[in-house]
Amino acid sequence: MGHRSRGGRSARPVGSAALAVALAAVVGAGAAVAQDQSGGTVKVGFIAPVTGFVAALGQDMRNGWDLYWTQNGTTAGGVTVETIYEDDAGDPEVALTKARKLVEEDGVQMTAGPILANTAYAVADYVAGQGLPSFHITGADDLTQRRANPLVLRVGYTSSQSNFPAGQWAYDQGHRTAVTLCPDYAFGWESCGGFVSAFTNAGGTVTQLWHPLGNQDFASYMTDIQAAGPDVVFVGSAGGPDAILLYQTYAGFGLKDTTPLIGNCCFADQVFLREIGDIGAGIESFGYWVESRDSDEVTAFVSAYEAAYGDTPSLYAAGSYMMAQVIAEALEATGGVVDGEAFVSAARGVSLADSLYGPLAFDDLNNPVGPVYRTRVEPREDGRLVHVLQETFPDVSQFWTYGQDAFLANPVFSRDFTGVAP
Amino acid sequence: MSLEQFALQTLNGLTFGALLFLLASGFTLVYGLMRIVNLAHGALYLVGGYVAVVVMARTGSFPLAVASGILAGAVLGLAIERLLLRRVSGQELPEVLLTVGIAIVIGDLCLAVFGGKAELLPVPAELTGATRLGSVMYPTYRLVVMVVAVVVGAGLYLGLQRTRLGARIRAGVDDREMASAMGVGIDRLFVIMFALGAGLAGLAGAIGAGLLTMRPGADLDILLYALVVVIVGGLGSIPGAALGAIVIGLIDAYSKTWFPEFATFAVFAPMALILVVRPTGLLGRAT
Repeated sequence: MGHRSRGGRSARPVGSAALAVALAAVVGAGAAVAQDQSGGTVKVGFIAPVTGFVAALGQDMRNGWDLYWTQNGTTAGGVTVETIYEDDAGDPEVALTKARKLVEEDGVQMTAGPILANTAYAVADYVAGQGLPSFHITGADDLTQRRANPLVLRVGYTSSQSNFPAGQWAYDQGHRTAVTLCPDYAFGWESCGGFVSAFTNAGGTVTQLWHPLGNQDFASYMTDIQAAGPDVVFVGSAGGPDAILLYQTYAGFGLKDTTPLIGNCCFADQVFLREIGDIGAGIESFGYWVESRDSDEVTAFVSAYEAAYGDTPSLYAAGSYMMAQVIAEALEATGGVVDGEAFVSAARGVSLADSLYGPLAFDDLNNPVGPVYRTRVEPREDGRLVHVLQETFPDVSQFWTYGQDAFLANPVFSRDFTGVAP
Repeated sequence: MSLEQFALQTLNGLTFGALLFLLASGFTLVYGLMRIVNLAHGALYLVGGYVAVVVMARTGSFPLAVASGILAGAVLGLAIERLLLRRVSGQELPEVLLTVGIAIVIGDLCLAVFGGKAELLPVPAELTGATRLGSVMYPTYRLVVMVVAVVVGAGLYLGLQRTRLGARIRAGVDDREMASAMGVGIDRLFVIMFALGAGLAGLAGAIGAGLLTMRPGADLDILLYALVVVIVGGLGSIPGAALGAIVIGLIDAYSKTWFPEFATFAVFAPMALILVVRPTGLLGRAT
């Protein structure tokens, strides 16, 4: 399935950066070939937004990535891993420019990151076009679905993956009507798509609300929720500031005490928990990173991370740590040889009995199959809010129970399509 | 939509509009007298908000936090006017570019100091609850924001109309050279005005930190709304800023319910329309 059949994106002019890119291409062309066989060192280009509007996520990513190599050493499969960091500022044009710079000037043999869907697509397309592997933690469904590529591997889950169990569970709890509130762009459509599909297939009915990106005030949506009076509210959020504002408004309107709220992977993320205060306790959410889960892997990672950086590691820190781990395992498997698709195949073959996410394997389209956890936010002994495991849904696939072929016969989730038929 | 829901959406619009008014009024005051398009106004909002959050965390006093936010905005504004803007006084393009540069520097400094996360001003318990309105609960704090905006708006209006300082400012707005020739100390007025406008931005930041949270980029997001308010209402006019804030606040709330696909468009479309039909804004005067 799926060979490289696209290239339009990477050939697109990039506005004011076009000149710099053109120069880099000319200057870097020779260097890339020369550095390909650099013997004992493998260069990895690590792209994360450490400035701009998602700067907090990018810094967490960098911390998680660094922590893996600090803890395990930078040698894997007999070669030394050298990381070259770039900042994409959350902007796809910048991400593409940085990816080009990494490949053509620095001669990296693979890339890891970035996080936002549009930046990840830009990087994945370009890097695959150069015949090099790229590793991702972005949620964008199609990266491992309709736009899957043998050179692209995702170490996080798709945006919809952990929300199918959420929809089924909400129905099983006796909820029959739901309001969903998601941001009005691909991540939101996919997050809500997972919940809506499973909930409506089970027999529930939904009212779907979408808020624009850069929304300033959530009050209107709260009034709409009050008017609909649903059994349950599902929020599919990219987390961070928007989620804090949303939940504070939710509580301010008194909805916290009348209507249960279920969050997706990222709504009540660790960035959210650091700031939300007492009203955060009790939030239920579905995701794949549980920082208080009883596992040696998790405990060791969390205590090392807190010692090094002070904060509880977020999904993005854990995801980047996992990217590093999968890359290291793949290097062990290939004896340090990084050779395009063969290397990604080796990475896909990585199977972990336990990891930060739990037992993990990859499907044929290079996406994880693993557990989804239902969690409740509770204070830890030291008062810090953390997710506490309530229930595990094992071996959840990105195609839920629909099967790959039936699922992929549908279009990708959008504002107009959120309900996969059984 | 039920009548009650409509009434609540109206309230949502008015309370958001109240915050926009606090920000837009400072912007429009400065422009009205000094003809400076201060695009660093959002950065002053950001600083006011962050300072309020820090003071709240240290002292636990909400009034003190708000006062510090105002003071931080005013002092920073004063420094910007005295140390930087003064050097390019009267040159429109350098002034605007300088304020853009200041906005970027302040925004990045805030990112360096406070990090990329969102900071919420912990409003005291008696203001965080919900007030019962009819059959539904409405957040008390939003009502407080509206009261603050009305008080500030009335204060500004009366101050401009009824006080000696207000008369001098109005004279300066009407004809700067003539007022100067009549013995009005324009230079001192500029300082007072810039500090007042910046203080209002700081106040909006402190209040907004409890309503919308402070975070990187919040300055530009809200400044964009404030610019729309000012353009719709009319540059330089306080009543115009009030009217613009109400119009934009209501459009924002209604559009999210009635045609959510166009919520963003609906906020900016009136601005384009106003610029075409009445470039001076609803209550602005041609200059």
